[in-house]
Parts: sequence; structure tokens; C-alpha cells
Amino acid sequence: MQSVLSKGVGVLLRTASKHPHFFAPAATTTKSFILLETGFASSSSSSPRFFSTKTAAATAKDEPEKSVFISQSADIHTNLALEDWLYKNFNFENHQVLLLWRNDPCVVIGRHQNPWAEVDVNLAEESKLTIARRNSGGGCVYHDRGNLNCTFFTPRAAYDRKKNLEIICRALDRGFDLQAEVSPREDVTLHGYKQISGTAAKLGKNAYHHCTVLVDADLNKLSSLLNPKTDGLESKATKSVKSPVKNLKAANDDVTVENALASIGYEYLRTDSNGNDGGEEQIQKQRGFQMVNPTNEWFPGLDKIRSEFRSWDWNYGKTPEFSFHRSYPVGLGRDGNIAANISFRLKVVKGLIQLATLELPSEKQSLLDPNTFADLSAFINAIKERPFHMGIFATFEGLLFKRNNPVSLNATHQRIRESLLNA
Amino acid sequence: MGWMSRALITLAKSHQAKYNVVSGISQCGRFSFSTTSFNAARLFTDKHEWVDVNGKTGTVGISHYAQDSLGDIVYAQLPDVGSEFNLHDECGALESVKAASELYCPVSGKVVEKNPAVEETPGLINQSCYEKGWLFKIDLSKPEELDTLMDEAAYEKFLKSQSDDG
Repeated sequence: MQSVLSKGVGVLLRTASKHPHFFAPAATTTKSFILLETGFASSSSSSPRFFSTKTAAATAKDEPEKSVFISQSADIHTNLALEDWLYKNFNFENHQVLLLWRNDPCVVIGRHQNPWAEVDVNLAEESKLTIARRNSGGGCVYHDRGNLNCTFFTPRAAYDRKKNLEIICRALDRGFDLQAEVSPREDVTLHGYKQISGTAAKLGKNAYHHCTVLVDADLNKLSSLLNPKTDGLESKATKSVKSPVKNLKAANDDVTVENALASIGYEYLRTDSNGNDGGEEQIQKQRGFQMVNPTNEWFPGLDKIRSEFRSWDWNYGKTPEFSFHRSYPVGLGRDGNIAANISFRLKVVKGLIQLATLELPSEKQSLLDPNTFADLSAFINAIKERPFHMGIFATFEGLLFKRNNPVSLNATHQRIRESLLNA
Repeated sequence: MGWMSRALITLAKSHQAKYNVVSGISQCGRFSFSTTSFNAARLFTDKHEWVDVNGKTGTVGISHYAQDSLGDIVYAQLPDVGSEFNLHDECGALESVKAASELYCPVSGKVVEKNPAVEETPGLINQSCYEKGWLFKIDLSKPEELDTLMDEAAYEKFLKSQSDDG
């Protein structure tokens, strides 16, 4: 226990040194929890609120205590791992938690989504932007430091998205005089239809509901990343519902991620488990704000969860089975022949190309020169069992149209159109 | 950074609460089934899965109550054929209205078949949760586990006790 403690203090002090408002531990409890400061409930003269096992003996009927955890990481995989760790290991029966977190720019897709259907993967890779699959359902969202994420943890039976979103609406009203509403799809909207928050959830023995709050995010980046070209894609994966979005800062210039975080955190603490506002008095009953340092030292096993979240197997390998079917005109413009279409089909299972086929009506095969046919056949054999990526189409088109540089489908069509017009 | 000054206590690692699997609600009614009366009736878990056993193979689905509380199911993530599970293991997920809900295996065993129709049309689970909307078939490795499940009458009673509770 002693070694745990000293290790913990070391971590805390390192943390504290970055933030002058922290001061060194004043006391430790027998349960090896460390108190950094007790000043959150400034009007309270009661003894410091340690983490304790007191509530373990309480019955489930008691009003649960609440904490606001603030993650100190801005790494999407670390934060997803922290969220998953809490979901799997915490008992929320008597202690409910709101985790607030932010990420460096990244795109986060739902558990049952297809990254190629939702995200311009090439653009994301070029901009060195992470695409991360989360555990909850729902659609695709863009994150950056101008976006605040809120995860409401409860026991399964107490899961209530609407109640959580109403906390956010009340916080925006109280803090910034912004009148937001919970939409029928259970997102938060401002001024009628512009969405400022997207919701998703994970339900098991515990439950969490998490949502984004757009404060000052890069909406241009958002829309360029989340509108990929997906011609010919067929999939049963969950599709995102596209909605017009808005930053809170555009509605009220005073809003920052920091003060939105504080407002939502306070509103959560002053709200009882029935969703009623309990005011300052309610806040006194809670455990307050807590900085959380998501490391393996503090959350044993976190590194393992994080490496799963970082893996190709999780992010791409978990993609629901899908297929691509694209066809390309061949033999156009030759003696005024009517075009034939060559069909290129892919079936992708667990992110790997299980089947690649090429089809051209037999009577039209003369339209394709034998060398091109040989190249294409070799290509489709080579990609079998290989990870799928969008570059496959550019390579295919390059071989088909005998170009060294990959060309986009549109450019190809354009070229063909021109050759037809000139014929 | 003023907001940070309010954030005070840091989480220590020994707070890793052990999750208590038994919820606040006691499981009502434990019924025994002799191993010769398989195929008698559909049996339910307190997590709202059902299993209908024929010989050594059980067909698994979710209850009417479960499909109703989930809402429109848009994606069914079923276990792969050949995979093995212990009782109560997480074996898949159903997605509805932005929530991914874990599926738990109601008995131990090896998955021998999954229902391609619900993968194709997840809404079948809502329309016909006991017939067309079955999820997978499993060869039971521990048939004695069936003794811990509820028959339909006991399950109805369990649902009622839950709603009274809430």
C-alpha cells in the first residue's frame, strides 16, 4: 500500500506542477486516496470529502453521490480507454460520474460503422488525423480542442439520455443565456434545427451516454472529412444521419470550452438523480470535480485497452461486411462502338478483401487489350486477403486506363466524355 | 485556467471498484427442468435473452420486453459460428437509436449457426422476436445451466417485480 501511495503522489505532483492552483497532498485516507485540495465546496466547513467505502454499505435506494471527472489527456485512444475502463470496472450504483474530455483533432465513428462510408479516409491520412472506432452505437463525429465530450455513467437501470441532455440545456441557459432544446432524435439543437451536440450510448451491466458539445470546433474540417465519395458501396453498417451543425461560440461569443465544461459540470452536480435542480445545497452533497490522469498506474489495465483501441483490427477490422461495385466504360470512341462496361467488384469481410472479381461480357472482351487484361487479373489476385483501402480504385483505374498516375473516377469520365465529343 | 482550480481530488488506483454482478433486484423464481424435458418451453434470463432448447442445441433470441425497450434495431452484431462462450459472456450487440446494447450468452456452449435474416434485416427482431428474429444457435456444453433460467410465467413475474421496483 505504501508503495502505491508514494507512486501516486509522484504522479499527482507531476500533474500539479503544471497547474499552479494545485497544492501538495494535505492528508491521505486509509484507503490510499489522496486529497489535493478541499476547496471546491467553498462555503462548506465540513471535513474534506475523501473517496471512501462508506457508500458501499448504503442501499441502492439512496440518492447516489456524483462526481465530475476531467480527463487530462487529449488523446482519443487514451480517452476511449479511460471511458471503457470506468464502464467495465466502476460500480455506479451509489456514485454516478460525468466524465468530461477533449481530444486533439480526430474523427470518431460508431461501433457498427464503416470508416470508408463515413470518412474521407485518404484525406484523414494525408492530414495525419486519427480515425477511431468507439464502443457505442450511433454516427460519426469530428473532434478537436473546440469540442467538449461528456460521458454520463450510470447503472443500466438509471440510464436516461433525455435527463442528461436536459442538464446540458440548463447549463447553457444558466451560464450563457442560450436556449437549447433536446430534439426528437435526442440530440441538442440551438435555434430550431442546428445541432450543437451528437449523442450515442453503450448499454450492458453498466451504461453510459456520451455526447459531443460543439463550442468552437473547425466546422470546415468537419464537413470536408465527413463527406467521402462512396459510389458503389453497399453495406449494412449503421449510417450517420447528417445534420446541420453550429458552434456555441457562434451564438454567444463568451462561450469557451473551459467555461462550458465548468457550467455543465456544475449543473450536473446540482441536479439530483430524478433530474431535478437541487441548487447549491445539492452541490454540497456531491464529491465535486476531480482531475483524472488516465495512465496505467492509476487505472491498471488501461494500456491494454488503449492498444486495442489503436489497433487496425479494432478500427478497420470491426467494419461490418461490405461490398463495392464500380463499373468503367471500355472501348469508347473506337469506330463509334457502343461502350461496354467492365465491372469491378469487391467483397470485404473484417476489413480484408475476401473476393475481387472482374466482369466483362464475353462478346466485348476484344475491347480490352490482352496486356491490360493480364495486368488487371494479376492485380485482383494480388489484393485478395489484403486490407481494403480506397487506393485500390485508383490503382485499378490506372491499370485499366494505362496511366502511371492514379486518376479519379471523375477525371476518367471527363476524359471519356471529351473523346466522345471529339470523335 | 481558472476552472482547473476547482478540480481538486485525483482518482487513485485502488478505487477500482469490483463490479458486482448481482443487481439490486433478486432473481425471482428458480425452476428446475429435468434433462429429458428439453424442447418444453422457452427459458429466459434476467438480462432478457431467451433460449429454446431442442436436443443439445439451443436457439437464442431476445424477449419482447427487450426489443420493445430497445426500440428500432438497426444493426445486429452476432457471434461467429464456431466461437465458444461461457454463461453470461458478452457475445454480440444490438444497435438501436444510437445505443449499442450488449448481448449476453444465456448458456455456455459453441455457436453452430447464426440467423442471416436478422443480419440482413435487423428489424425482424422487433417484428418477430420469438420466431423470425432469433439470433443464433448454440450447442450447450453445460445443460444443467438451464436450471437457473426462468420459464415464461416466472419471467413475466420477474418483469412485473422490476417495474414495481422502479
